[in-house]
Amino acid sequence: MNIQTPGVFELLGGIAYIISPWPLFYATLGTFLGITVGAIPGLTGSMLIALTLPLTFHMDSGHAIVLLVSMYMGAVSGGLISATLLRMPGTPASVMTTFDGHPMARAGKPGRALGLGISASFVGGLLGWVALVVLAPPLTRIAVRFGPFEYFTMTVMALVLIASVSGKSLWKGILAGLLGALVAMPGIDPSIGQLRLTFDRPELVAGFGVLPVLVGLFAVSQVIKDILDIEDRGLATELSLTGLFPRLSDAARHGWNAIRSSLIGIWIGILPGIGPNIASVVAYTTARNFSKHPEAFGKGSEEGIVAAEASNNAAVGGSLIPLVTLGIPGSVIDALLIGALVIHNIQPGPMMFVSNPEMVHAFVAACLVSSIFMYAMMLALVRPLSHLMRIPKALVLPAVMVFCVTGVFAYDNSWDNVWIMLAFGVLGFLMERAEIPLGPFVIGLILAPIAEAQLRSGLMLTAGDFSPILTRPASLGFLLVALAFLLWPLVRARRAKHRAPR
Amino acid sequence: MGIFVKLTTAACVAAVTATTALAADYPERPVRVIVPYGAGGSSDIVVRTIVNKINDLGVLDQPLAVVNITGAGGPVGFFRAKDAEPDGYQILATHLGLLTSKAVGTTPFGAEAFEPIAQSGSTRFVFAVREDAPYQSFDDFVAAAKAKPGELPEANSIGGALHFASVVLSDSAGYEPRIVQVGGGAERIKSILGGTTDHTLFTVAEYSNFKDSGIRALAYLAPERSDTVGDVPATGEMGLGDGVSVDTWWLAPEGTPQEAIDTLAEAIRAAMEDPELQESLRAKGVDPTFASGEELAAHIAELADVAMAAGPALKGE
Repeated sequence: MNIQTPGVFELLGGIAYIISPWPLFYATLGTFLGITVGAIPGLTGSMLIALTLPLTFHMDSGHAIVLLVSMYMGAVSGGLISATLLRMPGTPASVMTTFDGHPMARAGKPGRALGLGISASFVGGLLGWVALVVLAPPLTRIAVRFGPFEYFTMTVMALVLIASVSGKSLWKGILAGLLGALVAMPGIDPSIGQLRLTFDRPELVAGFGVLPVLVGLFAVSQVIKDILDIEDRGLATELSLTGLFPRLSDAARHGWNAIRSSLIGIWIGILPGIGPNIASVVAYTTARNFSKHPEAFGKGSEEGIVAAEASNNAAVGGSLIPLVTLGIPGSVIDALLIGALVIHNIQPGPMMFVSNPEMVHAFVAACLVSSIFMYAMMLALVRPLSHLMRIPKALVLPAVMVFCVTGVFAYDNSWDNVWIMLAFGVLGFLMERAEIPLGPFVIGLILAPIAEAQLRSGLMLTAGDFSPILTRPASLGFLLVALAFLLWPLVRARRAKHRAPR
Repeated sequence: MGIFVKLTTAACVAAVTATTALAADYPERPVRVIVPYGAGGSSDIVVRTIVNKINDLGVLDQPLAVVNITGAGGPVGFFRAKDAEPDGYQILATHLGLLTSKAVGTTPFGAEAFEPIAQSGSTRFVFAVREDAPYQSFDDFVAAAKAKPGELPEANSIGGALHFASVVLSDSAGYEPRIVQVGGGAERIKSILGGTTDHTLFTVAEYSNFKDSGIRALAYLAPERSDTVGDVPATGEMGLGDGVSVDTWWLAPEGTPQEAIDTLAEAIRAAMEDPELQESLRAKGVDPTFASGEELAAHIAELADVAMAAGPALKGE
């Protein structure tokens, strides 16, 4: 394989590119819009970028790239605000942040929760950028070697991880994960293009979209719950926004966790097809399993917030790596970015360094600058946004519903999705009542199609032979990690029991 | 308040009258162009480029507006366009994916549920292998594939236009690949580069993107060579058929008034005659062809027959 890849210094040239008025303006605008859209449940970064794409037709192509990459970074970050304050993940990537961010905010420390999330996002974004500059070529070469069996076992690993961390009961976690996988089944069979489980309903031909289900499960179910105790006028206790700025001791306490989570995010970002969503699951689980206080996860653990937010931002830089070096998109948004390049008659991939070096500079610069802008803007926006928690619910809930309905409708201009969203809102409400965790459900919904498509692709390749799952080293490795994560809590629980009597 | 109600009533009456007297004044409001593929994808970009040109030229009194109705790789948009009011204000822009989706049974209808407006631009496929593959020519590959029937893995996107082109090619060359579902262009190049699969097809636009990433083209699925693709032998000159051409089709729901169809076809023709648009389409790997009326209807019907005949193969039977 002959992939020509650029050196570090060529990539650093990007910094010079961005220090001029127009790129800086577009970076500011893009980051701001990204954060706003990310913070609103139902509106996602990919939607914002898809809608912006036609507007960039007549723009300078470098400016267009800066604008779109900044939106990407902003959207991944903005989700943590609503995840923390309202327990509604603004984007799928911030699902994991609801687990600990919201309990912490309810406990009267929203400032600390947001501050940790924002700082972790910043660290993740910066490390992702460093990886983009330094590690791009070698990592991409490894990622390209991954075949369907590696992808399959890796998604299985992520599924096991999420089921093992999210609730009180492992079995309820697995139940939720499998239900999520079931919901992913109707629609077009991804491997052979045939319809399945659609019961002859044209509305089901596309299956249940992730976005309507997600908004239903988290936002609508929360609205139903809040309506039931509408008298509750938000938080009674004084909101403490102290702790917004991280202390020096935090660097020592959370530094390693942030770096480890960022590395996980970068690696998962590089792998084509999966991005920030899965990165946050894997990093969160890893953090919990290495933690000295795993019992605090899900109840307001600082480590949980740091892991989720560092990894999803790091995945942004990571997913730009194969795009810039090979022209292969690392996530859905990256595929849209490739579309933007093509509109401007630029071919992404290794030749971009020769034919359009200024485009590569734009990518690299936008990734760095939007991380920095994101940090500044989020800190500035937190104070006004945190008042959301004190507004009477009777005023907030209708507005949230309007955003949910418009966001889901705008997704593909279809009322079917709005009904699906409402139905899953009811389901989410009932699941919470039964203490079946929502996290594994969503992750099952997102991962099951990937696992299925990859496994079947692999089986088509080997004419039905399963053995490569165990004989390919990377594939076996992922399975062993999954097993270890599944067993580790049991082992630790036994050890704790042994120690306790003494 | 009273005046408002009156005005609204007047507007409603006017709207009703306008619908009946469509012929002269069409279009009176923006026309929605349903694109059943994602924003930013190659099919979407081609349609948007043409729509922008039509709007810039001002050949219609009202703008065209692209609406992406995605899902299931096309069928969701097909259903929505078929069930739209046939008043000339909702049209579909698609390609032969509409025919293959009927052939494999995803939709119970194909092109016959629509009135053809126009064809604007065609693109084709390139057969490619990894740069260090042992085959120097398409003949080498066919010989190797015939020696191991059903064993050489082909990265495919099952059930769509690319699969259709692949079935037509392997039929005429007489080999049988092992079809592996891999997906879009990015996934297929990764699969080829990583050595997971042996060969694949790329659209001309994909090929232009990837040609320097470590792949080699062995055949261009067309009657003759093309400047865009470069020095790659065409299947036509090798005696392996003309290949499948993926044309952009503009279709209206059945029952749309002929005047509306003619007006839209004329607008698309005007845009396609623009040298700037032709240049920009060529840069995207699209040949700026144009057809409408009887000629287009016959072309679509002919392809529909081929697609239906390939149905079992597309379903993997």
